[in-house]
Amino acid sequence: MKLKKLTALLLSAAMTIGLLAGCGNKTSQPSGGSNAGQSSGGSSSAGQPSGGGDSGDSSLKGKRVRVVIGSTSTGGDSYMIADMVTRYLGEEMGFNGKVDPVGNAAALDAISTAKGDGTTIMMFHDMTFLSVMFGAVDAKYGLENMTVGPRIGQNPGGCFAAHADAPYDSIAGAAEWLKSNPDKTVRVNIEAGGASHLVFAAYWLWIQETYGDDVANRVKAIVGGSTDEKKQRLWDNNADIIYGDYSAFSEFTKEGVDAQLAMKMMDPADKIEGVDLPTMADNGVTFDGAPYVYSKEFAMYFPKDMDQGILDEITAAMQKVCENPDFQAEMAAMKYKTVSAGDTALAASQEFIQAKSDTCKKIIDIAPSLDSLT
Amino acid sequence: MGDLFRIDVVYSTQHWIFPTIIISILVILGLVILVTEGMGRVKAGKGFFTKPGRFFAENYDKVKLWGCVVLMVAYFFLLDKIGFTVCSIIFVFLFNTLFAGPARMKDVRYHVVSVIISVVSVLIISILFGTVFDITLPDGVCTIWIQSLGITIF
Amino acid sequence: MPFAIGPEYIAVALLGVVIGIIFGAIPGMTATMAVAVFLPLTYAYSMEMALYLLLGLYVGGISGGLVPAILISIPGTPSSVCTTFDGHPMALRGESERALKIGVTASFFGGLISLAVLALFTPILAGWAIKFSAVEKFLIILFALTVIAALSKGQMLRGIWIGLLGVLIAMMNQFSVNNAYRMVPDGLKTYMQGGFQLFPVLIGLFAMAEMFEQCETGMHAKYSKDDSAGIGENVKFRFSDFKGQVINVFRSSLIGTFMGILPGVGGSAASLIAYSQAKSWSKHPELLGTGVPEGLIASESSNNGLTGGALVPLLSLGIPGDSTTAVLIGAFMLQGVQVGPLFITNNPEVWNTILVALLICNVLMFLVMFFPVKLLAKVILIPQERLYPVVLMMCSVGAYATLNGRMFDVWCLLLFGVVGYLLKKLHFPVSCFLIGFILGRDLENYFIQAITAYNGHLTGFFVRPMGWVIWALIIIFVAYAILDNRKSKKRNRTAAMKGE
Repeated sequence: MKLKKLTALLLSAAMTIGLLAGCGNKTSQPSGGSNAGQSSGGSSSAGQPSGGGDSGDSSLKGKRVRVVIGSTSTGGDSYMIADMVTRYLGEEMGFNGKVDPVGNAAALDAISTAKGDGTTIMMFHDMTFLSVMFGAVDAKYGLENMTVGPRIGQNPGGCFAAHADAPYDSIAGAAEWLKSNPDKTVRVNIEAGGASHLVFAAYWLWIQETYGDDVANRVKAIVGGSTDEKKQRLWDNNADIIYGDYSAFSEFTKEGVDAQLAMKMMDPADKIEGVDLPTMADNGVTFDGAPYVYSKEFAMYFPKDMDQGILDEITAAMQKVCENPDFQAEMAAMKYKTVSAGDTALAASQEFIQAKSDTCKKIIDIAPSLDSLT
Repeated sequence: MGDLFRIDVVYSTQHWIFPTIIISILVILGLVILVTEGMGRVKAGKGFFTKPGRFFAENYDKVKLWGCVVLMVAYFFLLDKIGFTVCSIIFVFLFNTLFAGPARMKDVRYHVVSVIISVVSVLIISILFGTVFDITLPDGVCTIWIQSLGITIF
Repeated sequence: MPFAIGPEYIAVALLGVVIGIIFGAIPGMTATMAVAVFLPLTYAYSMEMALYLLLGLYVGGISGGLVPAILISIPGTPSSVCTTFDGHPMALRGESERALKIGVTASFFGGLISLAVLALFTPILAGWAIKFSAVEKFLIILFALTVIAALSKGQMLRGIWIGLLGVLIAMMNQFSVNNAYRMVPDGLKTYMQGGFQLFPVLIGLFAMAEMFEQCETGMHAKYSKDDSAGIGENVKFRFSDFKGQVINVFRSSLIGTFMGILPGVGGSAASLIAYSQAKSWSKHPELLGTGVPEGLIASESSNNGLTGGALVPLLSLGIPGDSTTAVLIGAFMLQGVQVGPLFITNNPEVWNTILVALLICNVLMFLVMFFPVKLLAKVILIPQERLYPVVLMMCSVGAYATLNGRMFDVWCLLLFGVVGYLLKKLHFPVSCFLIGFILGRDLENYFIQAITAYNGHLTGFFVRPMGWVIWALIIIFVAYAILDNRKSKKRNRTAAMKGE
């Protein structure tokens, strides 16, 4: 009996030490834990980033803000960017923010039924409107039924990848290779309704325009799969080219990687800081006459009847965050781009997103259906 | 041979390929089960189809069973209207009372214990998971929000 | 030191293990949730500290699931489903303490064996694991489905039928490839994009259905103090319980480990396969399911075996082996560490720390769980009318939190409670339905991937050598199951005749 009591005492003491030890370099407030769920969640602690402690003040001070994102993974760019922005914004405005990776349809649904008081924010990239235009979600979630908020960042890191020993170094190169090898096909693995689908559509249209139907018809789309499944397809030789985020592929392009796994990256859709690859535009891909550039644009989305005052407060706070050098450094470390304070302004953001949505629509309207592309 | 065992995978309809296969197997297998079990019954001297036996056990406890279903429906319905903590305290107490059975209904001590159990267990879960771990719980009318500390008790 | 260690690390690991066990043991929370809750906190820690904490949560969470599985027949985590098959009957016989101790010890061995595999064979295994294409993964899941035959107890056709129904129900969602809905009524489309969630289905079928049944019979105590002289005082735990189980332990742990290594093959499949294999290799297969240590050991060593295995693809390919390791990727990213094929070469200290941390966490888990067992076992004495309301409340929390806040999942608890109750009344084996449901989505996914790769030709399933091995396993096992089924039928018939 005594031994048990002693053990229990020691255990509790050890646990307390553990708690304190871990809390060593954190500041005062108890960090909001995160959210449960099999797909997991994340949260931000209001006390972490430098620059002020609990200085934040606003109508949202002390409140719980739920940030929904359109992805279900905690390792992807959506989660990372949302987490960073929520932390800094939470500090600026004094709220206790929590990132919930609920997935696209759930996020759209959550934001369209939420109260317009700023306690629910959706932070996500273009798939927000792409998914509606591609028909992956109901038309009622279109941009016209939401309030577009300030832009928060960009991820230029989408790019194509192929086996390290593929006979082409760029997708234009792949088209050339197809021209000289009339019996070959190239299979590109994409995800329907997302950025990869859009970029692939633009690329395919360019090939059709530049090289003609014969070559274009030998570029096949293989639909489906998470990024990990796409990599597996590449290794199994069930796909020749895959599209995904730079960070998912970079480790496999380095020296020393096993031959079956080695990849090469091609044609980022936009310039990536610190990466020396010619972009799609550099390699000559055009759409509608202009060089084709595509970056995932992240922005905040709100319910249709959003309170204008709070929206302005959030925008102003976001502008401050964009100019915060620590925020800029953190974003840059993950190869994301921040947006300037001017571009974050509400009117500018709304115009930008709307214009982007319109351009994408142009591509989607003339791109052939996936039935014929597969 | 080649085309006999081939499924045409068309992008826009491929979501029905596997369900169709499964449904077909279910139908065929279902018939097989009906037949084999029926044959078994015939062999044992009974009819091909059995008379459905009693669904519920003899003298089943109607109050507890249907009461349980009704309370559950009410609980879930009110969860996100009243808010987790208050709603759960009420309903855990009600469930405890429902399960008491006629013998213990009159026992005051039983009900006092019910109250204690409901309040303590719900508070522990609500505060530990809802507040400390910041897990989203159903919130409603009785959710308490303490602005100065930035915490919410659902 | 080539790795991080020290009292503060151990303290943090202890914290993680204890909290993980609590999460795992409460039938509303899972190991994945535990890791997810603490993930953002690790931003402020060093990489090594974060690892000790998260690995502690992982190990504790998976192990904690056995507690309610044994004591109240409700799995604390999906990977503890098989633990209920033998663990609970043991508890009802008054052997709760023994069952708990066996479960904890088996978990410990499972964790250690998978750690050894992780430490020694990672590079080889990684290279081997990626050779598993969609065809092989489909076949492995098909093999896991054959466990239905083992669990049908003489009703094989019904078991298969209800298992396939489970597969069908798992497909009531939006197909991930072409984003098209099937079998979903219009009004529910927003909620069923991902289909029914595992947690409400699992708890509904097991816990809620059980609760309804108990209501029907008046909610009398299943076990009372007067039934036997104290809680298992007459059947004590002995380490000799493991004598003769050595092969079982190794086989089950290795099954768990290898299932963990295969990215994309779920963790529940691991314990299911291990359990069914234990049954087929057992000297007394008919005893499994009635409450024998063998079944318990198989289930628990395999689900802990998963922990080491799932880290193999994570650390060597950057691809998570199960849902919890998928969350761990976020931990690495928060620290700015990229996981990929060069991870181990470029970060030898972190790698060593992971191994040491896993070892310490397994030891801590064993110590924390083994000794308080007497106390834990007393849970079984709590009268059901007190226990069920609280369990219902906790499960509602767990269901609501599954996708971060949806009432739909809470209602599913009720729905599947009714389904489970009806299935029992109609003499269908409920666990088979659950298995079909768990494996259904992956089964379809890999099927479609495989036939797409072969342009629709079903012959694709028969051309790969690794596939042949798995086909052989499936055929052998099914044949065995049919024979066993006939034996069971005969046994049931003789028992019924004797009864008359």
